[in-house]
Amino acid sequence: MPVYTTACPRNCYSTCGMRVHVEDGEIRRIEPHTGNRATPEGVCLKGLSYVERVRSPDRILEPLRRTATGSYTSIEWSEALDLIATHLLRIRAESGPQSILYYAASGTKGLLNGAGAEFWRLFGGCTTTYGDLCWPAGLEATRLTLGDNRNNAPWDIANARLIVLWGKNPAETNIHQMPFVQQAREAGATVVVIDPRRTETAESADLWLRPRPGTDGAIALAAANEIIRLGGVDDQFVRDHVLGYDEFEARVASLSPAWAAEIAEIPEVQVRELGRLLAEVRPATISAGFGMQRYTNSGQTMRAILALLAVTGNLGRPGAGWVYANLQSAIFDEVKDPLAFFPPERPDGVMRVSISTARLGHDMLAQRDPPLRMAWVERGNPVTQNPETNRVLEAFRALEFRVVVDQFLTDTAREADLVLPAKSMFEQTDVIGAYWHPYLQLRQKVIEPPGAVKPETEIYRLLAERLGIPDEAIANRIPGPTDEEVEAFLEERLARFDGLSLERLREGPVLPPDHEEVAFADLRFPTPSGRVELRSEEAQRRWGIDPLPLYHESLESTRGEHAGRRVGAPDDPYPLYLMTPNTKNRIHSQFGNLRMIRRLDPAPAVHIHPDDAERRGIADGTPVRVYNDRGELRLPARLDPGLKSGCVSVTNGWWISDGGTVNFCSAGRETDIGFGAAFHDNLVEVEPSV
Amino acid sequence: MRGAFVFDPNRCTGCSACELACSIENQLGTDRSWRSVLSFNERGIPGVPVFHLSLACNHCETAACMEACPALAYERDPATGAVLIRQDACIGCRYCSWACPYGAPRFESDRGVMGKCTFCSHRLADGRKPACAALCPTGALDYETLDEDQLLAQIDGMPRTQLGPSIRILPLERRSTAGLTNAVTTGSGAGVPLDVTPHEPRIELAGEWSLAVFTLLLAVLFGLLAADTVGTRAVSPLLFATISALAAGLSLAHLGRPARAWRAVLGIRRSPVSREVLGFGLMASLGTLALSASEATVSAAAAWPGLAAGLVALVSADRVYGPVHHDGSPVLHSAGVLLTGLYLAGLMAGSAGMALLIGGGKLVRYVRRTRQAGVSGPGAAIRRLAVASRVGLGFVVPAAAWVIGGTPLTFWALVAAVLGEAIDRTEFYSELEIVSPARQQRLDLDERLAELPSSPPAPALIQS
Repeated sequence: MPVYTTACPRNCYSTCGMRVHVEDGEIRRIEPHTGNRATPEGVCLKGLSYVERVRSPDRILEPLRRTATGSYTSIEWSEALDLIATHLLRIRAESGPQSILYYAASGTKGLLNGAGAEFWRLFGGCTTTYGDLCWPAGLEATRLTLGDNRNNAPWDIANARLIVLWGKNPAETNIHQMPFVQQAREAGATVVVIDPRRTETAESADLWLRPRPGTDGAIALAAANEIIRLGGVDDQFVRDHVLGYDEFEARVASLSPAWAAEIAEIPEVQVRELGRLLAEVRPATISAGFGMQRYTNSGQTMRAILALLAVTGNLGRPGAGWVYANLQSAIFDEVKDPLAFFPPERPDGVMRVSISTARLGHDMLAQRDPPLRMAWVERGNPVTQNPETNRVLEAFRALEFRVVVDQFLTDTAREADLVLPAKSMFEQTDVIGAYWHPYLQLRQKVIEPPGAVKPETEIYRLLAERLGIPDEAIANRIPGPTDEEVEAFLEERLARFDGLSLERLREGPVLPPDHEEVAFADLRFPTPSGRVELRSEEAQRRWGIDPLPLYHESLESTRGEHAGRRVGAPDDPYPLYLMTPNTKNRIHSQFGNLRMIRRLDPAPAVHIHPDDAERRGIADGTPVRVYNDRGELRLPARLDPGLKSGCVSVTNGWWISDGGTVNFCSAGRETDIGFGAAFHDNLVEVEPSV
Repeated sequence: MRGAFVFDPNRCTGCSACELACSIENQLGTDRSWRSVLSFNERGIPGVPVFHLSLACNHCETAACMEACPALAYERDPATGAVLIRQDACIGCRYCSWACPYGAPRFESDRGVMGKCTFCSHRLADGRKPACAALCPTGALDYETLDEDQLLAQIDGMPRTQLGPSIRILPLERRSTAGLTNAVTTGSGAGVPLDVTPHEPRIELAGEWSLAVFTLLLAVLFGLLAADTVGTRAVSPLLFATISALAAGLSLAHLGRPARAWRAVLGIRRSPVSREVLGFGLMASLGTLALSASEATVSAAAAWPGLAAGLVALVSADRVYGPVHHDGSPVLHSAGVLLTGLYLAGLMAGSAGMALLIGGGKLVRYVRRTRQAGVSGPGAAIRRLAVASRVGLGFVVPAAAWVIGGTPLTFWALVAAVLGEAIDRTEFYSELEIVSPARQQRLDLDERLAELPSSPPAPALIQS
């Protein structure tokens, strides 16, 4: 049975190296590639479920056109492409290319994803998005503080003596980090988990803080206060490598553990204990999750947490540092994240980058000169995954023509006039990076695309032909349809770097040139000052925030005021935080439709603390309505005494037909920095549904 | 030394990749796996740890499944020690799933046979670990060759057995109990009950009614044959043969693979099922012969061995339920097949001594059990009616008929007695309980909850 090296291209920390066994054109078995030191033990359950996913009876294998009755009927590629070309030419002629939205998301990684942008540029332009749903506030906070998003290698956390998993649940979202954390524990490390939910990760913590959502910044500033009080500051490091320490010290002098404890609604002793551990235990690694930086105050939250590493000198050393986004494998990017998310300072007149990903529905509807008339969506399911599902639906339904490229009839695909079948990760070779481990990996073609499936590169080429775009314009931008052409295209990109080639990648994962196993080991920080910047002038200039980290309530908090109503008052209509975490069973809205996954996780439920349930007359299993001004979802309640009272929780990624699409309730709103989506600022009420 | 699963609950996150690895490796399709991940305290009750247990077959030194199999469908692979089921020999009777405390053999309804973990013998044969162990993303599940003294199966939710399971479960370490750090803003929410009952494999009457009726008919047949043999009641051979055929049909209906029913007698050396089947078969055929023979000598020569075979069937029928009846002595149950057979024999044959002795014993057992269980709560009215019917039909009506009309008892009095016994027999089935990890979890969780302090402790800190 032939065995191929490949890698999982999902938007996931682990980006597992794989060895795939193929027999008679079928994937029989998926095993870990031990050449990936970050994921040597085994791929996760989703990775295993590809065996089903590739051959799922629900997979789209031919172009589908929506009929008058709303169902879909298979059509030939020639018909589909003619239909698209007709619309494109007509709309471009009537109102210009910028009346077409090109929306691509993070459904799959790969160098060839660039084909889309190349095509639309050749077409004469389009409208597209800036910002990102996932992680920009944290990326930008890190860039402002450390200068770059580089982390120690994943396995280095095993060298830490103190690990703070801050707002992160790797047991579900980064399972391959858990063995390294366990190694550290077995060597005597202390593990702190900060999370409003009693997660799998919290379960094995030595210290678990369960704060009110959005208050992590207060905890961090108070922990800094305690570190300073206990004499835990690394004076030498601060003197040589930190900008703005004195002002920071003055800032936190009044921000006591008691202050933070009152804000975060946790015991003061726990804030003190976190401070004490950071003051006394070295090396310390803070591994921060993405969820807590999806609030309107989260840029400052992340800067406050980063400050803890700066004042204790936990940077540039083994076992120390920041694990958030390790972009060392992003060698092909001319502009690195988060800068690549920002709209261009000088628009080029071709690509109109005018829609905030966080406000997709609002901004699509708001476009003028020209307004949007058509959309092309690939690698994404914005209907369920972007904030304010109702508004996103409204925006898509307001268009004349919609094309969605996908493997399955997702909620977004169900809005399309034309659905094009997307390749799977096993059906075209590509090169992928990662954001937790540093490896470059080959995502190798191991089987032929089934049915009439064509890779996007080929779709774009065929379309370009119909649109009269000359071959020579495309030649170097989008590879041709044969495997040889794809490989030549990739080889050319790899050859720009020493030691990189398809041949090497076929053997297994490869570290990028100039890889730093310990990030910033030279203690050179590529910030304007060359130091770790606790005080950032750029933060103030670019984002209008305080140059020092500080804490303020998020916009939609139970202690803030929002939209003219008195939040937190006894008559407050929406007193509960709706948390929308990821689950081990899916990557956002992917995988949940597979039978193997359904078997484990058949239906959504809203977790609610028994106290909150009792007050509302809700029992275990009661059908309830979770709602606010933006929308509602209906699903059964599941009593969860481990959840912080005042919070309710539904895992994100359920399809509308499942009843648990959380973004019906979320708000289209940006984070304070980085153009992220602050959709975790999300207050709701829950009541028994009648 | 033997091959064994090694499981570290401190590394397991409950991800279920092992379940999928099993499904894929063994080509079980998308809906089935031979391995299951069970979560202890899945609802996260504060103060009690949450952890997981990944279990498949433990390939026990004493394989309870193999011992319980009437069809000799189990075998041990000498090379790997794996306990294997030969699906082409399995009759689908499911008794192995009653016997295994780990829930390993599972009925595959589409194929009518049992399936279970093979230890991935095909992989072991070429030096590879079982797929579940090889593919665990956290290294929590492994396979190693261990000394006997390294085997360990003591953790909450793991049934305590003497079977010698090939597994080593490392001790759970929890430095703080996550649930206890709940503080400041939240109470216990104790007013709202959580449904904490894990899904337990159970024997439900709805699924086993054919067996319940079969065992009752077994007792009826024994009574009829006894009555005719001692000469106090003439029994129609047609009636006897018809009931026998009905019983046989019901017992076949219970099998996943009725066409292989003949295999059920192969385990005669140790399986009570085999003895029950053989005993029933002999009683039915010899009894029919005895009742229809015109020669008295032939009749007697067939009847007595038939009754002896019937006695074996009755005792064996009770013994089948030994592993799953909660008090472990189904022979002495008021609805035990042996006691019912003897009681009905006494009534039918007009033996006052036997009817009084056995019936009295049954009544005492029934009353004692009913009083212990109590009659209250929802459904109490139905329960009272059931108790009254059981005593009234089963004992009062036959006794009254006896006193008023003498022997032989009227047909309808006998029908009443059988109906009374039928009610009791349904109760017997509701008391059956399969020893399983899920049941053990329930018991152990109850114990952990009882140990919890009544007032919430101070916020947990690190002991340094």
